[in-house]
Amino acid sequence: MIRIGLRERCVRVINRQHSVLPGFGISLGLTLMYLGLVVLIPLSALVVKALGMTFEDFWQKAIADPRVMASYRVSLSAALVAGLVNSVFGFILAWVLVRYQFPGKRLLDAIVDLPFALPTAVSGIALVGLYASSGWLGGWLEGLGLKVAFAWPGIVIALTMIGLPFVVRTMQPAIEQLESESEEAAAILGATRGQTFRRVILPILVPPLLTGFALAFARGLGEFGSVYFIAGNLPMKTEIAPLMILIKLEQYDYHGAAAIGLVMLVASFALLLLINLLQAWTRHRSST
Amino acid sequence: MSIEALNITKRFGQFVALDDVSLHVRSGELLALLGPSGSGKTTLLRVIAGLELPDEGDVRFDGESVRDRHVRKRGVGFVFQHYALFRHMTVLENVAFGLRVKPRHERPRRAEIHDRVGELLRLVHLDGLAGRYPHELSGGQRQRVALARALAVRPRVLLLDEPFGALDAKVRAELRDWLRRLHEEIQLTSVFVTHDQDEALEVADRVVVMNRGKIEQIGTPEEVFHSPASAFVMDFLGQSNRFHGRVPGNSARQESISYVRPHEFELLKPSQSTRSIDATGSGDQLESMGVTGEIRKIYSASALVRIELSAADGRLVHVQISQEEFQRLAPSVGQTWTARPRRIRVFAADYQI
Ligand SMILES: Nc1ncnc2c1ncn2[C@@H]1O[C@H](COP(=O)(O)OP(=O)(O)OP(=O)(O)O)[C@@H](O)[C@H]1O
Ligand SMILES: [Mg+2]
Repeated sequence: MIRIGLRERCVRVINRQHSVLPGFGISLGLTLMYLGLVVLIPLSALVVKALGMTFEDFWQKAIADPRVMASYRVSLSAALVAGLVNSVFGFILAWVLVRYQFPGKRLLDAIVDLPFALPTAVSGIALVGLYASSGWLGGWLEGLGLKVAFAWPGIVIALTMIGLPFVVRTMQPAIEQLESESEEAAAILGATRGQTFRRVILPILVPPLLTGFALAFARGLGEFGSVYFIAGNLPMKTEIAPLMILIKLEQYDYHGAAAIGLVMLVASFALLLLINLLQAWTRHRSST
Repeated sequence: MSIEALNITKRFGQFVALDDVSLHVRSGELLALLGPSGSGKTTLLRVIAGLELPDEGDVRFDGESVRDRHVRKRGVGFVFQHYALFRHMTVLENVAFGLRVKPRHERPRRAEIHDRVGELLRLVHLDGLAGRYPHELSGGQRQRVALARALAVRPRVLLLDEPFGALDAKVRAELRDWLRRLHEEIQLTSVFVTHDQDEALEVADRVVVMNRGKIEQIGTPEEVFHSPASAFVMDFLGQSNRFHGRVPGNSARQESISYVRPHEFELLKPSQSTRSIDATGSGDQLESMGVTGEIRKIYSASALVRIELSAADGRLVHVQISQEEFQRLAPSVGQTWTARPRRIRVFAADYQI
């Protein structure tokens, strides 16, 4: 099904004569040039750097080193969990912001954007202040036996905070565009609220939810500033992959840094591609 | 099943969308709600369906109040103006929806659902399109899917909101006939909303004319067309000529409006005895002398010939005569003729458009 979708899309690109907007050639050229300058050339420099070493060397530096491996695990798992948490609560938050009227709604809506605007280091310091054993949430949680700051949960919390606006801001327009009539139609046909949500609303919201998740997740993988302070950066435990790159750079090990960078690049790309395909598939099923 | 709406009032904030509306739909009847945009037709339909809670009044099905009964439990079929199909479901899934969401002990078995959907799609002439998605259908086909979906749960009443509103004239006429026949076949109490008078007069058993949240008249198509109860109904049903003026013999000397439908004029050569042409076209002299004026336009390419007469005060008077009459009299543009009403309807001038 995916393959057909892709082929159709290619055919559509080629048969562009009937397009309403002219200038397909120019705009495609501009797009490629822009993408090239801003994204592809820097990334290929990274690839070239990494390819400058032998495979043996690459393997040693980026894969075989247990400390580096541990950092991948921390980065991936924390970003994944934070992305999932945001998918659930970001969805609910977006739903509340769109569907209900209440005092302070405007303010709440503006607060959602704060993690976008704040320097991430500031968020990090604020979180440490709150969750360290001396902070008023951290002390209490530690009493319950849960260590947050300078541990894995702290990383998840930082990434959740950073990723929240991505989910909320992708879900809001999608929820706004839901036709209230189809919900009414479902109710008239005898569906309960739960059935209406599961069968009528959710299928339409899955593609944007996947987008929001992908954005939050990708942001989590690359996040550095906020995590730096709360993670504690204990080798094998709470070091994230971007930190490993920084450490390598500080040791003037440019090849090592590039190798880790390449692994991150390939992993993120593979994941994003997967999510995109999943999205194309769900979108085809709930097509417009 | 009969539907009664009793003294329904519905407000949106300060705005009164329905003002003490009462309506009785007889069992098995096909009733049209007719009225201009914003007159409250959709709101009334939604109140009956339970999508809108009235501020005052009661809705009864077969004499039993359903005011507090949830939409889900009212057993109505509803066809939305813009169909509101589930766009991520195929035609089959759309039509089967109402059956599939039934509680387990009421839900028909898979095979039964399939049979029922197949049967419904045949009924609405859509067999063969079961696997399509709504965006792969034409407007008329979507309309019929919406209808099949509403009928699938065997509703006790069918409510349709401008079912043919978004379609072109030909498809509209086809579906209209088809709805009429379908209704004769299944005899389901049905209410449909329209702002097209032809649609209402041709299809419905009875017509409810609404204006500004109130019912102006309820009656058979013949009753509302031939004996309109108010100036509004007169105006709304078909084109008519309005003449302001006092009614002769009305002692109250009340301001009134006289209406003459275009086909209720006869066309005469202006008589020599007409002293002066009636300058105001007012109701006072209308009956005895008619309106005299110059012919501006003649449209003869239809069953009835339409003639536009420009009265002395510059107003246009619309006259319709038969083709035979047209041949016999042979009026032409630029000539002066008199249009004399065979029938005048007079209403108190208490309403403005
Ligand atoms: N949810 C609402 N909030 C506020 N006003 C509303 C709402 N729904 C309807 N109205 C108002 O109530 C009046 C009647 O609306 P309604 O939809 O019943 O009109 P209608 O007769 O169906 O018109 P149309 O032919 O244009 O569909 C309109 O003036 C409309 O603006
Ligand atoms: Mg309406």
